[in-house]
Amino acid sequence: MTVKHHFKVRFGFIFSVLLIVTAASAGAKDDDGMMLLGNMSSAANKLDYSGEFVYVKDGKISSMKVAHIGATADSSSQQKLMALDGSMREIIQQDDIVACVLPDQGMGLRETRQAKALFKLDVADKLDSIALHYTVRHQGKTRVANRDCELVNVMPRDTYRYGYRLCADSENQLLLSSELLGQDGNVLESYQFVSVKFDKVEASEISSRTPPKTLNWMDDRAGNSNKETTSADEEIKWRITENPAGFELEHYINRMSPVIQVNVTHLVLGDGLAQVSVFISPLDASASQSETSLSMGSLNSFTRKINEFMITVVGEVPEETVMLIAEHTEAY
Amino acid sequence: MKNQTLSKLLDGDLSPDELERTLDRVLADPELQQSWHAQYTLRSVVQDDGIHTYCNIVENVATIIAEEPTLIAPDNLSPKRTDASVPVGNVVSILSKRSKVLALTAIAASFAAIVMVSYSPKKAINSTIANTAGTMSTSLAAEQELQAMIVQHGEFSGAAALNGLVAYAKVVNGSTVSDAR
Amino acid sequence: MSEAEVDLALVRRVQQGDKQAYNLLVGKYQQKILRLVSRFIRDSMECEDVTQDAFIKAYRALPNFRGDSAFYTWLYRIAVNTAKNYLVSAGRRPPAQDLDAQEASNSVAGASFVDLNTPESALMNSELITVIRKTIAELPDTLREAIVYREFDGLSYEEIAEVMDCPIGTVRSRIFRARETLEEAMSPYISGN
Repeated sequence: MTVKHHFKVRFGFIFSVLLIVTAASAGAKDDDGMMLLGNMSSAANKLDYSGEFVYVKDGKISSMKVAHIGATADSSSQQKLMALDGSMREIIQQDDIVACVLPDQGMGLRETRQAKALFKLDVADKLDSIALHYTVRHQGKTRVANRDCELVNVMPRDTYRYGYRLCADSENQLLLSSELLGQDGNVLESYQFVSVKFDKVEASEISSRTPPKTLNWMDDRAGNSNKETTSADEEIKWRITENPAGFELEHYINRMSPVIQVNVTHLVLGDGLAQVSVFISPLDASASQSETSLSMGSLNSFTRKINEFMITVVGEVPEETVMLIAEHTEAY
Repeated sequence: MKNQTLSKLLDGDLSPDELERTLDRVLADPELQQSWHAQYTLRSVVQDDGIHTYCNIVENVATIIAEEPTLIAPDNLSPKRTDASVPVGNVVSILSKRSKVLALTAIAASFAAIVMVSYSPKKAINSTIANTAGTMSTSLAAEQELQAMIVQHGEFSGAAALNGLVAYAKVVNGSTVSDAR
Repeated sequence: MSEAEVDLALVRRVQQGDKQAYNLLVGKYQQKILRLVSRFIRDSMECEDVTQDAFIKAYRALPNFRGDSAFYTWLYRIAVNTAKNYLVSAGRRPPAQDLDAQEASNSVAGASFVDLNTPESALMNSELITVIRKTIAELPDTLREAIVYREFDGLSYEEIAEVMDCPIGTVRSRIFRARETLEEAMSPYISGN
């Protein structure tokens, strides 16, 4: 074996080893990414935290303050959001009561609904579905709001969904920054903490600044007219015949529209991360539109008529996805 | 080409209302205008009659007419749009001015779904005021219904939870609040 | 809704001060007017100049457009007059036989009297044509059929749906997707659009 040949062999061997190592580390990063994603699910609910963050959508920037008391064995989490721009607005959640306080309008609203925690990823039982439709990569460390964070990219495998760039606190996996990415990588929507601390949050920090007695209150705690049905409860009358891969039916709801006062069927489809809603309502006799598509930053909607019904599909997914789902919604 | 609405415009497959809204969108969006020009070039190539040439004089003409006086046609020559230059703005403010309907029950009480940020689909929902009261109320109801759907979607939207917030607004009217009490 | 109605909507906007709306009309009809002018004028650069001139004249005359005829018919007449006037002012005789204005309401048909191709424009045009034809050929069958029926045969959505035995919504979707693909392929060859 000549020296040249020997060198080539060694180089080739090293190169292939490097390839294997690179592939292995890429795989390891993918596993890391999925693990981090899963951890993000469980993180936020039990934490006490407070801070300020900015939210950007459609070129409009809003800043907000948040305070969160973590759930314990004896109590559920409580949280408050306060707008730092524009008219004064506060949202306060305690147990299953959510109150919206609008002191500038002199009013408040109480409703009973299941409130979702902010800044957490509700995907713990959906990781398999996510892996099918997204590539999840841990991209290393970065810093947000002066906290070390783990950067995770969640990129779609097809054009039917958007991507995400997430930064979770290295210590407690709270989502400190999140970007929703369009098909050409542009940021459609994002939020990012500017400052955050994880000290104990007192109950007074969750209370409204405005004395309740000074407000006119709307109380809708009894008025939840939604009825979620399953195939066991009620015959499902609507279905999607052709679906971009992975958008499975997650919820099937019948509700009364608060605006047009008719029964509306609401299907929720999801792929583990993205959700699409399909609303089916009786056709309004005065409705003149045939098909309408609207694009609102990250949110797209598409409306079409089918027989005596109006179908509206709404979702933080590309336009072609809402169109495809709308065109393949049918009664049976 | 950004969306199918332009495709429908190219084929005249729009109602009069949709036409005006679509033209508003196209005229406000340079990308859609590019698509318009490209599609008509495509059409001329597909319909090629043996004259293998094309030109692009749009920019030249635009430059020249920019220096020309702005046309304002006499009334008797063309019908006016009732609101030719409605600024496309914040849906909340528009609906607040028009709406007397309290839409509080449209709010999903998901923490992420309640008003924090004004919702402004300014590229989407055309704020052109309709010619007749009947059309206006239909358009307004359609807008509110869509808004309610977006709120209800937000109740389940993973993106909403993921990002923490859904940018839409509820419409609040003080007099209706007291009525509701 | 006919093309004439779409044009009228744009013309109304121009008449009320929206110059941007006029750019859309120029984009829509520039190729047709160029071909019309080419029947009078041999030189390609002159053709382009006269086409441009026709659009400027049309813009200035728009306050007088009453909508009695379709906008394109009205524009067609302005373009014919502009081309003829150009020839006269250049000391050349316009064609003896005037072109039938009825042609304005049809797609441009028939052979050109003149050869418009300079070497540069020939190359550019042939590349664009090649790209378009290649892209069309490479489209999935359903998309190709739909776009050809629409753009070449001028079938309506309803007619295409009948021919292809599919819902109208599917026809729309296919045409849209075909256009999207074609536009992407064309974009490197269309500058300044």
